[in-house]
Amino acid sequence: MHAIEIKNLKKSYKNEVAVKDMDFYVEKGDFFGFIGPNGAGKTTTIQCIMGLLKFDGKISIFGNDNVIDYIEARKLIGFSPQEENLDPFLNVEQALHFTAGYYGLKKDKIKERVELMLKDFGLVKHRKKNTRALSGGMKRRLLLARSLVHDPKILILDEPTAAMDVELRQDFWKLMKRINGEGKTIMLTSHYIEEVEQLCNTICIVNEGKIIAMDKKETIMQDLSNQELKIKTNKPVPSDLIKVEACKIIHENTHTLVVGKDIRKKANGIIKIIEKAGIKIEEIDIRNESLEKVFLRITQTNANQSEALKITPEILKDKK
Amino acid sequence: MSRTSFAYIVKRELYRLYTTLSQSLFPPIISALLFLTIFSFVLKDKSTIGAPFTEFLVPGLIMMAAINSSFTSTSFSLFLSKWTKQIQLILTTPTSYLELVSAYLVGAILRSLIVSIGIFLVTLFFVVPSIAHVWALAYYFLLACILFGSIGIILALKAETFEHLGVVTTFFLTPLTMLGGVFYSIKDLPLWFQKITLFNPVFYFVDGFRYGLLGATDGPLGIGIAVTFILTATTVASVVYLMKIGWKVKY
Repeated sequence: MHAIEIKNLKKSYKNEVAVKDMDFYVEKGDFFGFIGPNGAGKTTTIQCIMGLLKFDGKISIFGNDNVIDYIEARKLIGFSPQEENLDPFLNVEQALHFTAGYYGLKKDKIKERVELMLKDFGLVKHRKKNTRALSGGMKRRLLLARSLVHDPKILILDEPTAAMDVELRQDFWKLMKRINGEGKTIMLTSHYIEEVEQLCNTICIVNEGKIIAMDKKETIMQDLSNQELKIKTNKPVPSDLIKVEACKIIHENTHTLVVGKDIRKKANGIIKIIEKAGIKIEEIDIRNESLEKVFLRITQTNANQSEALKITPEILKDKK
Repeated sequence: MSRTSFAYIVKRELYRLYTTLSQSLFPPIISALLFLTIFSFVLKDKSTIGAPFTEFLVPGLIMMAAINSSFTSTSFSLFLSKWTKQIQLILTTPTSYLELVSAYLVGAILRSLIVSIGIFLVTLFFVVPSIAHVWALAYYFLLACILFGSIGIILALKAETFEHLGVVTTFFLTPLTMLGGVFYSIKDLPLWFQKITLFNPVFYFVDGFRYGLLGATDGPLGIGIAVTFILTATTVASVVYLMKIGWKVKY
């Protein structure tokens, strides 16, 4: 049974289509990165999962339909929204206490979980502060603590590290890795692609309301990322010297950059050609393109390219 | 229904009342105190439907405060939740729409009860009211809180700004309560005005509650019971339906 299963999800706002027939699932225990440019449909999809929007299609949470069996489905999810929505009448401790109560926890359990959350998120000394008096980063911490207070099986985080400083963000990463390691399924959207790259096992890239790529992070990186071969020579390499199929070659004085697929395999051949021409190689560097570059490249291409990328949810299902 | 979730929403409503006592509890009590002070001097010799005017005034003041408190409780609380997007938290918890409506209404009833007890205690400085029919007091008080609490929920769902809440209070609720027989017997009005008053639901609540305290009515009691019951049942059913479909909350 999948933690989250989405079938034929469609959502429109008046005449604008936000999500077009989306179809995917999140495996139990996975750390699932859901990324895309602004307006791609990420938050809309998450709000459909949380039951905050009406939609067409079917969403199941550990087999519970989130419309029909919404009470059971909601017990299993913790949600940290993109926009701060803390209760202005409550202090930090009360905000956690009441949320645990809304989730139906018993008194003793509430006390235990609230103390644990205050400690885990460094909120102990702020426990009596009104939520309005908290800084942006503290509010973000409280939202995260609140999403975990009922000990859910699934955690959905919509831009959780917005307004966090670098130190806090790194603490958050450690905490999320620990929580995921304890068996919780996490679905994360973030503008920090580096964050997704660091944390997630599976990555789903959406654009214009459609999935354009989804697979395990390593597979995405292998299938979609280009490699870059940087060569520094003692003199400029003539522009017509190297010809590599399906690769982009840029010459700039004594630097040559070759970008494309399978560069590692082609590197030896390129080096031999340069050396044969009597040019001395001073430095060589081969790198994989970062997820951020992959993301920018594929989201900037036409949505139709999803077919060319050959990684679709249907294919992913076949693989599994 | 999860009792814990329901209890915590009610608890949160009461906590909100506690943190805003100066705005929610004291103003209606002070208003009632002022009305009683003025009218007990000006109209101390006047008798209305067989009771001294001050005694006649007490049930009207309590009912007016109960109506306003229940309406304000649900409308303000729910609208503020929408405004701060805090409603999203409630809507993502395992709370059924029925539980949510019930919790807001129980919050409204408790707030109105606290305010009404406060007013009742203040009236003791002027008059010691007798209680003629407890069932009528309970029936009309509960139904008034449920009806106007439900109207408050509908308005909070519909409203997009705080101004919308103010407009309804000023142009709908205040005229209805002021013209609902709180300060006068409708028998003192011209016949055409008496007939119009019979279309004002607040009149039946004030009149019925007055029957509970004084044992005398201004209008037909049977019609009052039927009108208040049908109106309340219809409005509650509408609120439950609107919550179920997520009207103006889920798009």
